Amino acid sequence: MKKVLVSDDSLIVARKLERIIGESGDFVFVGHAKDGAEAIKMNHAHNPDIICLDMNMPGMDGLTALRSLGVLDKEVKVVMVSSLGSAEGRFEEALKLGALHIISKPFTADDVLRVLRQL
Amino acid sequence: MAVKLFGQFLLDQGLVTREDLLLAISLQEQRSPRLGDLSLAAAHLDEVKGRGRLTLRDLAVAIEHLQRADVSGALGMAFPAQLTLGDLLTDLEIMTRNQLNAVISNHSTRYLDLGQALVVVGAISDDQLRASRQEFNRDQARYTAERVALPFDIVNRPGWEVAAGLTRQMIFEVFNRPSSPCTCREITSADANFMMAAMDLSGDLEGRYIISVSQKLQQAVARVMLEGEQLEGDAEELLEDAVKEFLNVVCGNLVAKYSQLGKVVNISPPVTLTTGNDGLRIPEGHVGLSFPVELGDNERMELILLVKCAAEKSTKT
Repeated sequence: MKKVLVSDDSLIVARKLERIIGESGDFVFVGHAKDGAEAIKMNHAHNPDIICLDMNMPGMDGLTALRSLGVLDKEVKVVMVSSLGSAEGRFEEALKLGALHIISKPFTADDVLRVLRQL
Repeated sequence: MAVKLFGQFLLDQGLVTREDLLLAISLQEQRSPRLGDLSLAAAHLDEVKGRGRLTLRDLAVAIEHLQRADVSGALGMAFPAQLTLGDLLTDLEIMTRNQLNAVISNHSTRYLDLGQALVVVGAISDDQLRASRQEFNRDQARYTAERVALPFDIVNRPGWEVAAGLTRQMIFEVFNRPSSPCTCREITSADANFMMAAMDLSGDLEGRYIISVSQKLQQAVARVMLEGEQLEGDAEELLEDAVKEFLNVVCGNLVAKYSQLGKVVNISPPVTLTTGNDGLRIPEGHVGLSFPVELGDNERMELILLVKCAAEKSTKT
């Protein structure tokens, strides 16, 4: 099963993603990072296949973390999960920095699993 | 279930790949006009500010429009004292009116929107583009916000009317309830409630968004956010986080909607407001607008907007 790391400053979003991933049957939740810096550390520790990364977080934000991950780990696949994903500049920047997809909030289990299964 | 850009919609539908989008964006950027002369405009900024007509933020916003290749939007922006960027460039003799007209005309013939660029790079056909645009318009029709009439003298009133309408629609969307009519009233203070969460907006909309909820409604928000999952012992932090994230989702979609309209709005992270028993006083120089949102079962969420007064009004008060 593919390992998924979630990085979001919102506890409620992390909890929802943990449940969706845990109940999917083909992905396993490996941890929750509360900001971009923690996501980079946990990526090193858990070696996930996929990171679900929030764009707007206090401390190191998602786009900064995405830029670092692009240098540090060429293998991990990153999906942005954000209510700001549809703001034009951020959408294009995330794609250019290597994000494979952007899931807009609010999302359903189907929205998330459809994207994760495409990767 | 969210405001989306056309490119994101195509990606979601599996009609294009990320690589297709990157190719198309790259082509758009090649075709975008280069107004390097704007750096000269920045160099003249002190002189312009001396005339009290243009702020650094005004210019930054204009440049942001240009970076997104929205030349006509940027050149048509109305600055304070009815100055436009086009006026600025010609006033400072950075461009003549003829050169300016040539830029606009050149832009309109060369600029490709994302859909056209995807056709040029061979990702989709003309027919697929036409069908996708129709499907996209149907999908996003629900976010063509009704305007909530605001009978008050506030800065950027039409923008706030759209914002209030869209916010109410997002609330009903998240709660999966039919939209109901809304009344708006001006307030000088907001009653205390179990919890208030706030986000600050800047850019093309400047003000503060506040959502005020009862304890029962706070739990209802958490249930909606978790799609029915019951919370247990560690719930207090999660319940508070649920309201803040709910506000984040509503405002984030508002930012996305403004982006579709070529406007730039920035939001700060959501915070919990501590108001005490006296409730929330509306700060000087601002208008407080209250929108009660009926959610059934005798539950009412209150949306409060703190918006700057128009210049004439703020000098009177």
